[in-house]
Amino acid sequence: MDKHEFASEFFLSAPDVEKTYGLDLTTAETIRAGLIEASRHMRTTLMRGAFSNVVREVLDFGVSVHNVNPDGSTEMVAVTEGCTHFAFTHQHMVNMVLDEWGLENLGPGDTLVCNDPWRGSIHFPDINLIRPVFVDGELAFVLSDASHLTDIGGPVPGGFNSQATSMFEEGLRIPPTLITSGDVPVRSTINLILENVRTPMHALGDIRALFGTLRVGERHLRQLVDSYGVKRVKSGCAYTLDLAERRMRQAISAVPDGTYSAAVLLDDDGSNTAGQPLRMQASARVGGTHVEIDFSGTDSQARAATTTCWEETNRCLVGPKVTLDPRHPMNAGAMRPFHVVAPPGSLVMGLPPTSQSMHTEVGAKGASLMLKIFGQMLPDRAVAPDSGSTGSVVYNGTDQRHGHDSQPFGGVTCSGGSWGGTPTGDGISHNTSPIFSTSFTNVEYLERDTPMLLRGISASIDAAGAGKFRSGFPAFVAFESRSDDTVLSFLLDTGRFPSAGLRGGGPGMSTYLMELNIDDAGGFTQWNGLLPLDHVEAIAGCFGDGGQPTPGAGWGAGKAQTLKLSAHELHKGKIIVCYQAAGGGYGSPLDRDPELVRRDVWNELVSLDFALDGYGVVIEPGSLIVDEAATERLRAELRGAGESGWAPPPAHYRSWPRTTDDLAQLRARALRTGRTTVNS
Amino acid sequence: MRRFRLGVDVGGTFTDGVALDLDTGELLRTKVSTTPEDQSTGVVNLLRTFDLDPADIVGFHHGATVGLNAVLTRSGAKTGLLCTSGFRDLLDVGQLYRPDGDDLYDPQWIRPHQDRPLVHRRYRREIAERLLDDGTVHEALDLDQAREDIEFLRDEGIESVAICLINAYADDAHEKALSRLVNELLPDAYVQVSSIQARAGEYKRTFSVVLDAYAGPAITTYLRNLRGRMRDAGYSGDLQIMQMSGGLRTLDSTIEDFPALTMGSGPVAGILGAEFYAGAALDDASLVCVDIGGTSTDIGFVANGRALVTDNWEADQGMPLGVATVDVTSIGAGGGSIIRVDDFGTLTVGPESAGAVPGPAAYGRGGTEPTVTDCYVLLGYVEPSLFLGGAMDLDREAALAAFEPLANRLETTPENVAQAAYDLVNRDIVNATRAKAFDRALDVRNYALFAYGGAGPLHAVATARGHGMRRVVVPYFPGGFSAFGMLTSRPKVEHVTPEMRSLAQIDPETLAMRYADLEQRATADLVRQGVDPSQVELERSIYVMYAGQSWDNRLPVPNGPIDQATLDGIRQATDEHYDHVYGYAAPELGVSVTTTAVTGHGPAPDLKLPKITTGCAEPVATAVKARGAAIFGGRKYADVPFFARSELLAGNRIDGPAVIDDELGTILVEPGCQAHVDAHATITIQW
Repeated sequence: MDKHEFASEFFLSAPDVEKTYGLDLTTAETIRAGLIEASRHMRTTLMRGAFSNVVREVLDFGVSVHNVNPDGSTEMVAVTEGCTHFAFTHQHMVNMVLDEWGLENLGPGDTLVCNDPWRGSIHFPDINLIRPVFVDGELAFVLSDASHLTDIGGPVPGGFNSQATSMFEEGLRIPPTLITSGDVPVRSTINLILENVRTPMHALGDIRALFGTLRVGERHLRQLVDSYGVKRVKSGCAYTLDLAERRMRQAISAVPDGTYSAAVLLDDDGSNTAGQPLRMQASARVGGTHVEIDFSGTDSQARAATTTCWEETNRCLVGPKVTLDPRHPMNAGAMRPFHVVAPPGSLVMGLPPTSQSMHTEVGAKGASLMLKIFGQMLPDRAVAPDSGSTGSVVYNGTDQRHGHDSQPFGGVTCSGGSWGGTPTGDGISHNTSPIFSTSFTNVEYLERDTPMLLRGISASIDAAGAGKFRSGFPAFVAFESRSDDTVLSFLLDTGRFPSAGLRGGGPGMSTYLMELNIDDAGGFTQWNGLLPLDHVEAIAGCFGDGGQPTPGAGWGAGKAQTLKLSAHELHKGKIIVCYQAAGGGYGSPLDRDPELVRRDVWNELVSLDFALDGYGVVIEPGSLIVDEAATERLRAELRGAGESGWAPPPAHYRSWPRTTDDLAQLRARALRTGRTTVNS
Repeated sequence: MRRFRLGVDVGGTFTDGVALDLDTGELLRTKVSTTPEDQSTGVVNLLRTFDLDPADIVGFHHGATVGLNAVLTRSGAKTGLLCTSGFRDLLDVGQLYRPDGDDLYDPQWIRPHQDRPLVHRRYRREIAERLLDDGTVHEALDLDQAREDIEFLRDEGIESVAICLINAYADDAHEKALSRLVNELLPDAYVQVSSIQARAGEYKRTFSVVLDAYAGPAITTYLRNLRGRMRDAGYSGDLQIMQMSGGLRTLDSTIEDFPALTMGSGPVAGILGAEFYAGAALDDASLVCVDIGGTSTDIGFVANGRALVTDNWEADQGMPLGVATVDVTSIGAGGGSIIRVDDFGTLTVGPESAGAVPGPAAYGRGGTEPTVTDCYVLLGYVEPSLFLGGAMDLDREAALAAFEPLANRLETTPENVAQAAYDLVNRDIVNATRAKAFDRALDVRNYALFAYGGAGPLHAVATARGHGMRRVVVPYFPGGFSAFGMLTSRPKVEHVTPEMRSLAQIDPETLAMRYADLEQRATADLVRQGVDPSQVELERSIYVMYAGQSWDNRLPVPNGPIDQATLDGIRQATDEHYDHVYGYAAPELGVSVTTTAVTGHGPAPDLKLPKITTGCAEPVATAVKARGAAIFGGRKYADVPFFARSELLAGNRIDGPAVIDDELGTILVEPGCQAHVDAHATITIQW
């Protein structure tokens, strides 16, 4: 198909723009940029003005600008570009809340708060603020922002209660409520929140920063209105939304009509009872420039908390965004070509009063599922799936360090998995799921502000899914606490079913949780993420004999039966290490340039064994020179094994050290290898 | 005998030089081609072109791009990193997130450091040790193991070693011990430790020390080499090197301190030149500085006579320098930027550039895609016989032909496309400036727009109007202005102390002692560089945030005795800053102090700006060299005069529409504007 046949339909000439929007092209584009600029400013304001580490460093927040249509509905024209999931939820959140509250009941300086997932919030810990902007007495725009509080009350500190069977076991539920009235704080609302959470200082500070950010956003929007007039700014909103729609529809028009389907499995429901895997299935029906994404066939909502509400399900639109039109700012216009069917009572549309506390893994896995489905539509743009797990660690407790008076503390660290291999190169290392794009913790601030010690974040050897273009490397992240009153919750999946490769690529490493006894081991003894197993307790994941991490075998052999661990106690003398899953490889690893494999070995990212078994590349151990003849022979043999024969093994290190001496030898051996090669 | 001070700025294409006669104010300027293989060759060539007696040169201020080039082309030293066990991949992890903008959703994007590392993973070695936040030892430093790793680096031929340990900002003992070991085992290697930047934040500190270790050796070699060649050329005086911190350091002190601070010295020097101008020759103390060159536009601010500083400058995407620098933002739009139309009718300008070859279509060197320079041609802003002193032929037909395919697609005229593209460049500059002004809480409507770079004054009026500003100022010569900025700069040092405590816990005596110590350190540093102690100027600042936060804010602290009123003033300034920038204030919360800082300056340069002859309001008739048609805001004006700048006199007034041509730049006076020429040949445009 010639792309330009379709292009004409989506192309607007300067006179077209003038005719449709009453704006010359320059003004239309200038207003579009101004709206995006407003959201970028709000993002910076919130980041720098916030108090908890989850907002100021992890950047788990969203800000957005909405245009109010004549019928009272709103459309999201610009949104934070940091943490991406809010880009797919604020549109609906704002409409639902305003619809329920009634626009006629809002005046200048009023701000609403809500955290209810059945009204469009992502989960209870997210505080969403919504503020109307009036111009000449008319409601013209709405600004909204949201951020993750470090605690929202309920039985589990931090709010992720994977075993909850109802929402009443999660935390405080806030229906739409006035939090400022005419710019005066509504004390009763603020007290209600502060007196029901474990970290009220964070909550008050972050709510203030959220409110301040809306004020700053409003100031910016008013500048735009002062420059162009409200009518033209609103026309610019329409142009902005339509442009995103035109772009998305053009991309869809290049997809052959038809139905594209796939399924993925989640480890379990989080109940810690060696439960069955959960299945997510979806089909995308493409007709013309429209797509219906239908989750029929997905399992029923789980008894424990691994379920999500419809709002998170809408985040599946990140799949088409990444595949079809990645290089354009997101807004509600890009959502118009899609219709999402979420069967009530299923994993993707839990019905009250079920709990959806561990919803994050349904969301992250859903994004991987969408990459699989949309990749089928445009093979040139298909990438192998990412880690398919949120990979977040939530910690709370009281600070028993000297001088800290047992004050409550709380925080979140995202350590990142990796994205899959692509048609043109290796996937990105150290990155969260496409629906997050959250940031890392500032270690030195964390250790100043809380009793937590972050003992490491780095790649572990042999973790990346093999392929012609391998996945990126995910990190292991290690925590110690200086306080005995510390609990951690883990938002993890991909422990049981590694992320598969694409077009002959190999699966990535699975997720593991392990605990090192540092008193026995004599400190944080690790090399490239490998620990001495004699001093390690397997906590959760697939483990073989002696606690050896082993993909696909021995699920439940750890201390816990699930990776969705809530309120795990971390005691002094222990370091808990979380190995994030990797994405899958792209293309057969037998087609990978042996020089690239050698380079990974040289960089201590890939072991000699995995180079051999995973890539069919023979490397001389001392010099690290590729034996080209032997490599060709081996690769020919493996290729000859045919479809029923060789397949790339799941990424993992096969023979972990048992003792600290074994570990020291690994390190010493690395210091002796590759010394004769010349390299850049 | 005459006394000249030289400013020499090595840019990507040209090495610009300015020589100022300190007694007469006479200003000589010249430029030669940059010599990329050894930039000092170009500098010496430039010196020859000036043809000055070396004995008459009393000062030499200089900036080069050796360091930034080493980073951007990844041609720096073969570098190793010693880090705390567990943090080997901090450079690759970066901030984990995906950046705003077009890369955000793109599955094929990877971080520049993963793609093209500064330090290969093999050369990042983990050290068994661990400090706590207060500097106490949590796990002991294993020097035996470290020795093996350093020997490994030695055997691999490592030339430079960066050392960054977690929490080393609180105690430098482990870093020092490792540094000694490196000196013992690799006596020839360049070594830099992170604890010289005693601020919390391992990500920035690691990149800071790695950038210095990576680029430092090349900078050091260049500077030593330059000194030798300058001596050979007969100049044996001081070489003052431009720092991104906004001042000069002697060559030796640059090498000893933190050579990476020279990386973006060119754009910084332009802003410092503006700072000087604001003090010496203008009514305006606050300026938005816009420097438009061939491929990029650099934006900065002078607020109340001072160039603003930032802690967030990045050498490459995700690679922060991690220290305070003059705040300069670059966007990828300049005279050579290519203009395109995408599949949706959206016009884009840059970041691709036609460069010098093939160059804009109008240059007739084979360029077929329209550039911003071609917009100027179509809109009638440049007169071929005057453009760049008449050195360049301009082919209007070629420019027209380049725009035609775009015009046909958009169903409009080539002139309309040129106007829209010109407007879009202005919009991008306005947006980038506004974002920055907003971050810095500046109301730029009270500022003047200070325009330089060859194309800066072509966009000045339009961008200033976009901000609601009232005035544009164009210095004596806009092209090569960064070299002038170097010439006007003065020695500057900054000394800081990490604090990490509550403002309420600080009593006036403690704070006074702290500043006394910092002031003594800053003064000693300047005196070591040859500054007379009586001429040292000191400035205090403090970094504050609310208790429990992590993003601190730099606020000024008044000079003079410190008492309770000083502390109350800091408290009040904090709340006001938060209300303005973040939309809220929390007066009942405690304020945390993270850092105290003192900036020390040497004496302001003793230089006179050149003066020109005074004339009357009407320019002399011969100043008009040509007349032509030009388009402003979509409207065509038939008879627009082109003035030669060299023939304008002090007191001249020119009503727009008009164009003033300087041999290194073009100044646009839009319809409805009036340009005034003052005694220093500064042109102020108002409307």
